[in-house]
Amino acid sequence: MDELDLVRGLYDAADDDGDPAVERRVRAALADRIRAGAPRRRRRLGWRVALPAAAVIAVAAGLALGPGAGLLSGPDAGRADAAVVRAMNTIAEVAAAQPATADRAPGAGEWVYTRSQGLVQVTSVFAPEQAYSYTERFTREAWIGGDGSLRLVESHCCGHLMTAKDRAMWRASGAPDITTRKESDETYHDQASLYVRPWQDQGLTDAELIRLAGDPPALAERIRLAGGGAGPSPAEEMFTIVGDILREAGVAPEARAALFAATPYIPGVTLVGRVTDAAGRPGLAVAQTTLGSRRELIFDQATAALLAERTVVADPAAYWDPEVPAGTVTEEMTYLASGLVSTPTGRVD
Amino acid sequence: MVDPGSTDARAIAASLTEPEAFAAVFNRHFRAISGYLRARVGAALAEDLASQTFLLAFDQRARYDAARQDARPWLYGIASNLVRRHRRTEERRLRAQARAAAEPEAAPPVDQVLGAPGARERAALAAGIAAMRPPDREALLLHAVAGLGYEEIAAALGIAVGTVGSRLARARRILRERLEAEALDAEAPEPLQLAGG
Repeated sequence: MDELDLVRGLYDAADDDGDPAVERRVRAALADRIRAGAPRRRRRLGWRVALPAAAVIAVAAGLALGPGAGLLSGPDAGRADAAVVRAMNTIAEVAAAQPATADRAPGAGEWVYTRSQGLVQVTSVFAPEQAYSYTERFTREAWIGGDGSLRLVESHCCGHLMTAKDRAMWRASGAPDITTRKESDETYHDQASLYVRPWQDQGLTDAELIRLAGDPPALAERIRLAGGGAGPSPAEEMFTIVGDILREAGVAPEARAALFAATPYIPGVTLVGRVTDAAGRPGLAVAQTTLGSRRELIFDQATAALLAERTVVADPAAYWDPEVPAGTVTEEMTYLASGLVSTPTGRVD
Repeated sequence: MVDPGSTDARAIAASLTEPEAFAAVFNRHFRAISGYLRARVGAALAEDLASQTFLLAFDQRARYDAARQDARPWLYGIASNLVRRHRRTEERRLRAQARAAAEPEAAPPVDQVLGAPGARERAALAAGIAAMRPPDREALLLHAVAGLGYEEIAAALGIAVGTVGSRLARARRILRERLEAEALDAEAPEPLQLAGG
């Protein structure tokens, strides 16, 4: 027995098949990525929190970016569309005028509560001869605690097969039930930090955002650096980071204002204009389009709140599945209510 | 309909137009990659890193060298890059293993009576692996634990085959020295510690 055999022996303890649940979670995360057909932002929470709701969480965790690769870098980097600058500056001014206490991360004995609803794609991809995709509606309530806890209450149901091909594959695979409502209520004790400040560990704290508030291009560059080369392209990663920060965590108004002002300097961000979200509320949307899919962030111009995120098929020919018609909403998350509460059961309207 | 192909290279090539073909790569290699990561950084972190490995592999599949039929070196290379970011975690884990193995009460009483050579060797090995240069450790573990050959390690780490050889030689020398030192210590007379004593 030589030293290599001894090393093998030392590591033998871990030489087992592992926890099947881990494989299922990782498989689900990869399935979600494969479903989109292109690289997207990795978020650990997406596959760790709740497998039954993995796809829903994928949206919540920032996986709503449309497919894309290799665009939005190079000569356009750092240039901003004047219309986007004007629109986002207006929203930034609204945020900057809000009192500092209007929105913030939870302290001790506090939770940021958010209620949302949306739409997510679910796909069976690991039996290719039986692969089919459908969309599911969901509702979600999240409590992100100052103590690091995270409670998620989710309900999703009513699968809707996306194309005739999906329907045929679903039938071929035995027409499994995709319409029964699934409910979950789970609490995690060490994950909230990923939500409270998803990019804090890369230095994108409120203080850092505020420090660069006077120089939006510099803040955009700081966001690019925080991305660290992750994602399909730096620009897509930057847009994802903006969504990550604004999502379900409290962000100080001044920091939000800085983020809004920097968003136009993310390459490829365009002004969609006035839109109505799934809850019927008017808002202003900016978007980034990659490989036939447009990801939108929709803001309330009166409150500077993020109303919704959604991904829409813009060009079926460029989309990974050309059978999905243009205008199809493939993913959507609409934020209905948010605020600080004093218990992980408290709600705001 | 997707034919994932009979080799990783074919599955990866197919996944460029039919992304679900990439599932074949996952199915073939997840358990090995996951086991390797568990061995190195523990189950809790390994789950994250295994996920990242396959998500990154999927993201970067367009860059895959189609001449390589077996994706193992590529996947282990990605996993190794990810582990590198957690070097301190791995070293802490190894040091903890070394301490635990060296504790007389950590071994079963019968081993203590017999001098518990296995435990002492494990302690020396863990301490040695923790102490060696990260590049040497990388080559050693890809060889001894993942079972990669020199050429595969070179492909995984993006280094020359000769460099793999020198790193492995250095790593093995460190381990031999640790083991020899431990053997000398073991021969030195010292009070036998029995359980409860």
